[in-house]
Amino acid sequence: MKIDSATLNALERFAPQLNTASLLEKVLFYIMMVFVLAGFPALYIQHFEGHYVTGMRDNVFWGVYIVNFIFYIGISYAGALISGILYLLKVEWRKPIIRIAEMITVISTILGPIYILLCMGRLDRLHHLIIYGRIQSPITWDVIAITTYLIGSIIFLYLATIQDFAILRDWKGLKVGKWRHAWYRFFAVSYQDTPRQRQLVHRGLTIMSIIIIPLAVIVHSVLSWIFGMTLRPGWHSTIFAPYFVVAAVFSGTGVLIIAMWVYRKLYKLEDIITEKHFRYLGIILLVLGALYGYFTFAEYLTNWYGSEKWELELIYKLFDLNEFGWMFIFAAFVGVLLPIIIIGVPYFRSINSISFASLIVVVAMWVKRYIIIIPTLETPLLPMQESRMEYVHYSMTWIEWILTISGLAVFCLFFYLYSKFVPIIPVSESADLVGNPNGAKGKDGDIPGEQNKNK
Amino acid sequence: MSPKKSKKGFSRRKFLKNGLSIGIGTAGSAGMLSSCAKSEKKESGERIRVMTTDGKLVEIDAAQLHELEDVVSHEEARTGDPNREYVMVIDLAKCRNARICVDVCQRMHNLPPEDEWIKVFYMQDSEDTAPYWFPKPCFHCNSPSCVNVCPVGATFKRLDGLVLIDNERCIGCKFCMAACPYSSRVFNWREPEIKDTMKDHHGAIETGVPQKVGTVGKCDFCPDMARMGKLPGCIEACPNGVLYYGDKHEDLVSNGTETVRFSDLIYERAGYRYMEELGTRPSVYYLPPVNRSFDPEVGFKDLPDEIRERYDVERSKIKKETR
Amino acid sequence: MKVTMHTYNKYYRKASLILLFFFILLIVGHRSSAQNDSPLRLYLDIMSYQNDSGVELRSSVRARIGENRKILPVEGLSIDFYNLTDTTETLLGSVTSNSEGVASLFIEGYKGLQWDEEEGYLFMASFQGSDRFRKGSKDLSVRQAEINIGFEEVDSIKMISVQAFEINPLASEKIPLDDITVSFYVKGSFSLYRIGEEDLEDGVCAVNFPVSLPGDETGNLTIIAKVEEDDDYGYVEGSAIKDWGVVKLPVIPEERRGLGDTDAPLWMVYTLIFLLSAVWIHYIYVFIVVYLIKRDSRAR
Repeated sequence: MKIDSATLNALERFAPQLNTASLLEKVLFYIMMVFVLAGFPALYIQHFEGHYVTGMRDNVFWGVYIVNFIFYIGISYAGALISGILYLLKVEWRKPIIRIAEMITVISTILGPIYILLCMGRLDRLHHLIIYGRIQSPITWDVIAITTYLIGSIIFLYLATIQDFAILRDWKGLKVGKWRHAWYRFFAVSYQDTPRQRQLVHRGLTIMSIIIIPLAVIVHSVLSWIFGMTLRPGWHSTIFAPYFVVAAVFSGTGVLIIAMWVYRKLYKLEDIITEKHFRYLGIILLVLGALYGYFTFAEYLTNWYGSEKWELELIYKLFDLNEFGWMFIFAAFVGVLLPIIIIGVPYFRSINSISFASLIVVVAMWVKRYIIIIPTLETPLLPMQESRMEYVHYSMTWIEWILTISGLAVFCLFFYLYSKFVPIIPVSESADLVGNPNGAKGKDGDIPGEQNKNK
Repeated sequence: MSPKKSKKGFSRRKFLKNGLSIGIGTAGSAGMLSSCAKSEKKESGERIRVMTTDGKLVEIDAAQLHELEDVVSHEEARTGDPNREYVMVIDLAKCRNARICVDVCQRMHNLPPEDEWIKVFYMQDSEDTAPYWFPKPCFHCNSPSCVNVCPVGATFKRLDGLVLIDNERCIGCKFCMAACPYSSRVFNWREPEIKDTMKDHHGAIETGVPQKVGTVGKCDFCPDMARMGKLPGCIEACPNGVLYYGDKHEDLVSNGTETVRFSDLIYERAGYRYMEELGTRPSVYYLPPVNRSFDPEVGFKDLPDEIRERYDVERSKIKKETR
Repeated sequence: MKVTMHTYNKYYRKASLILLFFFILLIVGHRSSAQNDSPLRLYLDIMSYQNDSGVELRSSVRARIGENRKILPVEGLSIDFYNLTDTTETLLGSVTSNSEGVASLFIEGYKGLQWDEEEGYLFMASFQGSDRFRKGSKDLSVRQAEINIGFEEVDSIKMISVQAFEINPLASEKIPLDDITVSFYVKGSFSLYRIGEEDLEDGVCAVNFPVSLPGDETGNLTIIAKVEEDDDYGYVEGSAIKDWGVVKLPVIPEERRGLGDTDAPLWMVYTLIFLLSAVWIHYIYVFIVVYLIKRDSRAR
């Protein structure tokens, strides 16, 4: 396929990403590998000694693994929102960031269910879900929804990357191993950039972006119904489905901003991912934060105002500084108000501050998932008099800590490796956005690449 | 006229009289007889007290309690008998936290001490209401939340009202534990230690023995005992006759000593079901603690510290009312 | 009552006998504690349960064993049952005691038993002794009795009537029993439900039939009438079935579709199929698109 000069320009700019690694990258890579490898002995121990090595017991039988599961599936909304909605709206500034967004979705939709598998007692009976599956159970809904969503995201990511695979296949100047060329050739499916093919890709992308939005909503609703369909205080809430969807979009956007900031620094993409992107996404984050804060407020106000015994017991546990109070303050107040202030007040707005606010958001959302799951389990309807005193409160064991951190390292590692395989900025779409790497950068406020446009 | 009893060799009355004097004599020489005798056949070394249907308290070897082999097919074990409807009635006026029901159940089903299938709670509904002891087996609800949410159908409701667990099918997701509002289910977090006497049990839905690691367990109303025409272990074990069990279709429930009509018992003693408003429609009825046989404080006597401190936390919580 | 020398001596004798007994036991017990393995004393008793097909002899064996030295049932001992006369001792059978310490032997139709006019049947249960347990025996005399249950409606009140006889096997005569309490039960799945108790008068007594009790699909109830723990007759039981109970039609389980059943409600199935098809049709379309891309290139 014919590669034009703008694209060549961009390719030459991105080549170092694909075949070399800077010192910083190497250091980070090794750190992540260490954490990933640390997960294996923990897995081994858990497999052979049973789940007794975790902090879960008969009262709090869903612990940090389920928190991580919900968290990662929540993050996966990034792809659906940015790629899907912004594609349909034909917004120009989405182009540099769609691949980052979609990759977040794919990796987290793979990583999340792995945590479920870690929490299941009998992995050797996984096939029972298929041969004996009951569709009345929210877990079956979840299995079906997440599988469908994963396949849909992979298809969407792939469709958006076909053109880049074709470019990489045809670019003579690419210095990578033979096996990589073979992969590019395989994935490019003989794409020759004819008008008809371009039209087909466009049609596929449109269909997928339409489908993926309701699909993501269904996935997160179904996820919330695993909790919503039980009779426990704090879980049996009618707004759980929209609450989870909003929280998911919120956390997904936060992760996207952080990823943008990381790649910007790592690959020196300051002129491509500009302050404009951060500002726009920051505003989206702000709106979502307000929406999320609204849902939180409505939920807890209703529970507190009514006099129901167990709901109140749970609320007081959340307000009690000796129990979950600090976590609750962080998740419900700091996590919502701080980003709103930072992004809402123009004086505080900057790329770094927006990224910092997103970091707060992401951590707060993890803590929020913890607050949803663990306190409810520590507030059963019947007093916890049947178990040992040490089983009443949940605390993470070192195995759970290692596997949590290890999972995060796996996330970062796979994201990084992907960016080495395919340029993280879609070359085919944003070639004209790539400025002269040796020349002056555009001013803040410019849409990048505008100064390079001939038209 | 009935024939008068003539002189007999050794009439029962005389035996009793002499027995009494023997008893006094041996009481006087207490501590002199050895205690090393063993029964001729196999034993597990653990003897537990069980009350027989005549109301006698006997101690038998723990291993003997669960000898029923798997006599029913898998299909039958999942369906049950449609002409029975098992129901339990618990008399809160007589419970004193003797915890013999808990011990017997754990021995019968080879459970570790931290897994209790029948639990005894110390309940005080509010600051000024009187506390009471609350034995709680699985309620075998008629609208069971746990059955609704199981993704593989490992827990199911039978036609005879029992909710059982097939621990060959359970995948250990613990969703049923989340769905059950009554904290009835326990999880096997580690490989259960199987006593030698139970090693040849290959496990069946109706026995629940042996438990499997990574699966869920709960009270099953001992369907294997019902097949032998016996009451569940906890019923027979209770020294105060607190637990009654029977078939609602026959309208009879028994606590091992007396048998009464279920409808009469509920009517006269104002039986109710716990947390009826949750809509799960339990199969266990409670008789309110009126005209109690024991003061609730009796339940704390001679309790091992580890068990006592569990109740203490709740007791201190109840005293302070929120708001 | 005047306390004579005679009565005083009688009591004195009794008291000293008891005291002497006590001392002997002290010494014996002391000696046997020195040897840990001396055989333990068995508490053996024997009871008879008669019904219309024969008599069951039940012996329960206990001993004072275990750390608490409670009296516990002993399993695995071979108990011999004998039928005694003045001159003979016929072994009827040997049964090993079960986990509840009970050994029981059923003699059908009272076959082969020797009967004494005065004492009735004389039975003995004995244990021959072993390393651990001393030998012991206990005997029992039982007169043969029979309970027949009949049902009659008197003034539209349904009654259970019972006729109880003692049977003299030699003369084949039936002597009505008198002044003995008969307890009435209905048989349940796990236990017997007591519905009444009456004393026999001239061998007859009656009790109301529990017409409000549910029976099976024809309203059948099994009525059991028992004489319990009588000195002469032991336990005597008779049973009969009558369909005067409340009819409980058998439950025919139908295929149900609900939240808790194996099969899901139909609306759930349809919704799932609809949603899944809606999504996967689009996926299939995209697969076709990719295929078309490939084909387009090959065509050129």
